[in-house]
Amino acid sequence: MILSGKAFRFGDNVSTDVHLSVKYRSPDTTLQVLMRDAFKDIDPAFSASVRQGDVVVAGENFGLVSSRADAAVVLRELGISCVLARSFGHMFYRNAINMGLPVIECDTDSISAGDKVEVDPETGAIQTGGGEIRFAPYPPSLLKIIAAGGLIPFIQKEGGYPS
Amino acid sequence: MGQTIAEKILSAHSGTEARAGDLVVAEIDYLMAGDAKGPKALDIFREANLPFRLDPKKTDIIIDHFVPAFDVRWANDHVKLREFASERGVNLFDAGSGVCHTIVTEEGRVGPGDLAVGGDSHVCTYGALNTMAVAVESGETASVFATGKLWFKVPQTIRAEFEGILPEGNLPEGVFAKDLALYLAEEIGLNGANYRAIEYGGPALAALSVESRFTIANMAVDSGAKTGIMEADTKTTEWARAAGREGTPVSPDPDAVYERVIHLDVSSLEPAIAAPPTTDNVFAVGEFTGLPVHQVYVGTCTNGRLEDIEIVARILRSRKIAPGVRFYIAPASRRIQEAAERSGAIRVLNEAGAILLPPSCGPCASMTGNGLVGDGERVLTTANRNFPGRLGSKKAEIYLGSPATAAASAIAGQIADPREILAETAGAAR
Repeated sequence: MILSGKAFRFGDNVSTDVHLSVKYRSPDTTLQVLMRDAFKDIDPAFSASVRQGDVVVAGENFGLVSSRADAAVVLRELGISCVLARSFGHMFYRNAINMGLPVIECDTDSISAGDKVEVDPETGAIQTGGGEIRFAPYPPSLLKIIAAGGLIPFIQKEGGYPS
Repeated sequence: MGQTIAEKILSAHSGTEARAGDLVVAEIDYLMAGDAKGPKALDIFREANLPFRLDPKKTDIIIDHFVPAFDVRWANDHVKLREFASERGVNLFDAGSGVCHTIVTEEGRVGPGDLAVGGDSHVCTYGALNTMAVAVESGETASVFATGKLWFKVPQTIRAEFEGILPEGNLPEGVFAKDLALYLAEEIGLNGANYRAIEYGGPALAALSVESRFTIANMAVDSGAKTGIMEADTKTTEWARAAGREGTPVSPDPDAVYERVIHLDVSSLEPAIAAPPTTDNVFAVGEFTGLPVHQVYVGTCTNGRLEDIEIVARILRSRKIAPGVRFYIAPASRRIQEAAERSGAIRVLNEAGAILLPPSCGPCASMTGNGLVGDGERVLTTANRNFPGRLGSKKAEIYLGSPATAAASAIAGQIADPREILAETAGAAR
């Protein structure tokens, strides 16, 4: 599985309140509305310009604070193929993989907005214009969760983790 | 290169040599499903038509947040949980049994070296028993019902050393485990332990009772931690044996790699207060003495244990709650309530004018719906969170402190330093 697209670049501490602001929410807010408003406060053009396969690249603590699984679903549904960051908020990291969105901890300093990025979760390599970035590859069971589209679909399809 | 406790527990449960940053799939020893997130987990489990493959002895259904049920929605959730427990042969702790984390640790549902997960932020409380416990979302709970396993990212570890214990193993007068937990929260910062494990040790920790240690482990998550784990000693193993799950204690290697080591000298500490809006906004109580309080609450998974109720009773004996103050107290389990009745503490509380609540979460989060506060009111609670709106009105102020500080403040009608009254009671017969 090679994930490839254009980099959208964000800084440190982008909390789920920024990329999925509660101020645009009400109990009947639809996924479409959340997708339209994603990152609105820091990149108003984001949802209009993102294309299938594009990659979100951030600094420290991406997705900090909230435990809302919507935060990962919105990015996945917008076509984001993976999120690269120096570190993640705990619940966002878990929710993302459980919702089938690959999230990868790595050194993102050399990646700029608009760079073409190719990510291989199996081998742990990221190709950018400026060279290769390495990360700890996903173990087989995690690759299967991602391929199935999330934790629950994975169990439905595979019956459980390989023993 | 040595391993931390978290790395060792995840190694033993995944069959790998787990190192910080690794992704592993691990066997789960225990799953706690409560009435806040459990119902959604059951919905996901049923809608996905997953098989139930978890050993039913490795999980419990616990009803503690919405007790007594005050809305048909919660009553229906409770019906759903009871039916599931009965269908699957899962043990049910129904309304009035107590707060989930207190029950789990009292009933020997987890022990040293275990790996536990649960659908509530504060499962990290089990860390006082040398258990690695991680909060999970409803979908993950459903997945554990189906597989008995879960994937984990192995966390970095922050080591917290409690040092400077006074002679005979005492903390300074008026200082309790809650104060230690708050000073550590201040040191680490609100999200300072994001995705990390906090590993606790040191001579001042060894001097504390297991009950006190639960208070400290409980607040790991309030610094953003994935889990908090304490080293096991003879107190831990005695508790675990008496509760019925001895487990296998896990110690860190001498050359374990820590991201950061914090040394907290307890010898010069004073009673602490966490002021709004966050748990890391911590001051010596003297900064706030004299501020009127309208509601005081002692209880919760942080501070509803027998020694908490006993210290409150010692302070309230022959005294009265100040006019204009509502003093709620909820023992964290039926077992604790019974012990407090036997010791006479409950009678003292009643005579002082305290309002006794059933063993449950009580007024800890506004979602629990009881004991809410209104605009402009000020609360002192022994709970673990103080952000605006946590207890009802966003225009109320929430302060956190120890049970002793809470009791002294309830008598004074204002935030008070417990040391004066503790000195007065020191000679008095219990």
